[in-house]
Amino acid sequence: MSTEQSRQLTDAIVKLDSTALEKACRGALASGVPAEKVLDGMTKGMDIVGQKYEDREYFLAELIMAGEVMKEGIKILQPHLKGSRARGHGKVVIGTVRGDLHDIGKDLAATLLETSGFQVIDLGVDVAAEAFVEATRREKPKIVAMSALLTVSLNEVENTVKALKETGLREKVKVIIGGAAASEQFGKKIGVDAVAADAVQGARICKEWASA
Amino acid sequence: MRFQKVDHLPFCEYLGFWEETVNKWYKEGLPTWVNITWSGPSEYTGTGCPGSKSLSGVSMLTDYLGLEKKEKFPIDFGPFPRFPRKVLEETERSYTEIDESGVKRLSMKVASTIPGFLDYPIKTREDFEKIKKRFDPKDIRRYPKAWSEELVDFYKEATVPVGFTFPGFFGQGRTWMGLKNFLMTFFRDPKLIHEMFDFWTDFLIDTMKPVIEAGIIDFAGYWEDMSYKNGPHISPSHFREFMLPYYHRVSDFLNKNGVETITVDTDGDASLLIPLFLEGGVNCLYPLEVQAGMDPVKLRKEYGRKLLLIGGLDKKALADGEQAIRTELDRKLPYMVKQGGYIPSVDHLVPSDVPYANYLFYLEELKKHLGME
Repeated sequence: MSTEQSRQLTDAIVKLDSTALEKACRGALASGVPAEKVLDGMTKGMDIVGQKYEDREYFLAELIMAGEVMKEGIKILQPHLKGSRARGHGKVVIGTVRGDLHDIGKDLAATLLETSGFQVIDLGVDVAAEAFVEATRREKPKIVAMSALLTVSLNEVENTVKALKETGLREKVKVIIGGAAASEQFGKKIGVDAVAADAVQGARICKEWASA
Repeated sequence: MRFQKVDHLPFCEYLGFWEETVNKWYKEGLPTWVNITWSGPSEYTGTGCPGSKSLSGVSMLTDYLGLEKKEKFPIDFGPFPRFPRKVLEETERSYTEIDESGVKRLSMKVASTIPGFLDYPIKTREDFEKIKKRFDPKDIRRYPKAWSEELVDFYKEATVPVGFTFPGFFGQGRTWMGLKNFLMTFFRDPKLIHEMFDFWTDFLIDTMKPVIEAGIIDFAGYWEDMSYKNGPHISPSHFREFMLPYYHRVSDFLNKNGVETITVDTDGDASLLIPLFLEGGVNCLYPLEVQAGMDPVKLRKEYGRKLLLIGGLDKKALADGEQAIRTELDRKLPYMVKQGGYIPSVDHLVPSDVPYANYLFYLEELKKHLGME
């Protein structure tokens, strides 16, 4: 792939431009660039978007838009991507815990994880500890991710971690939590592997774990 | 809120309590004869706004706890006719319904919490054109049935502050379109955003005109909920381009008609938006969520008397216990009480992980700081 083609892909994501991304994707594929390389160019763009979000240059609106533009690009690439590369980082089970119906943060995290190369199993909202356990047993993910917006939901986060321990699944997965209520102090207390300040940081932590 | 000498700052719970919290407190010592009712229907209106299960207007509980009150003038900014409410699915724990605003939502039966929102009435410009018909500012159902000179006199003699809140531009936009679709529209169809906000400005001003011009309103405010732990949902430059022009129009109308306190309700970290709110004619912010980094002391030092403040007392401290409560109040209240221009209050609705005993302790400590012992 030429430098110019790579730049066009990256820029289209950063500029949140789905028209430009479609043109750049189709152009690159037509010129014989492997889909995996095209995806790399787009992923670089998402990394820049993530950095801009952390630098408070981009906000939730830009993050959501970038995620949608990225998804549209992946749809174009899908027929050309070999399965293993599309989901190369493994599985993540994600959900908002029982009693909590918030899904914006969870959905954003799921989008960022998916576009980063994870296969995401989204359990939805109001997810009981037993459902997390059952999904973990069934799907054998590398990571279990929980979202909790409300302080009253933290009990359920703790219950889920306990349930994973009691069923012998805890040592087989990494556990990451996020949401307005989640704090480093709480995370240490209940023994999770990471507490994400936001979806961007959460996706970055998961990618680091997958690459380790 | 005029920074005048007073006997004490307001002793109140400005946002109120979740229903679940009060139900739990019945098992922890709150007498069960202390009735809870929904905020919404006023004895004068027989109407209510589609709303969440919060109890900010509960007189009996407020009276029992000895809290001071405000009077919410009941204007209905919702759609008329209402969308027909329809329950689509029901389980032991929850139900999915189309509510009266046309929003498909998932609500818990077993607890009161912010619902999960699944689908929305506006997806296209055509949907927006259709829904406009439900927002006629002249619809008589928007005002109390007893709206008259007599009612105006009643409010003129009120011994508590009288005001109301209204869905702001971001708040109404997300109600109509859902947060994700609404945010994407800023990029995909910015003209539609302007059209919606322009329509909403005219609707707000025309709807509130009678009560504002009657001269009985002390405070009025925008409900936005446009920020979270990590900051605002849109950039300051998007706010400036898309929201500020319309803020000017509404706030100018309120100011011109003598409304002194213009509030914005937005949870989370609103710090980047404060200069823009002030520029847009807002002079009061709440609830100042502590876990999102909002601190009334810091904000007062930064903005001085330009910015009135409500809230900012950490609900987590109330859950943690007496020492945490003491530390929280000792850190903030001596300074803020001296400053004035502040209403101390928990930084959102009081949640159910706050034991009743802790809340009573909090009220006692608050009284000490306010000089009310």
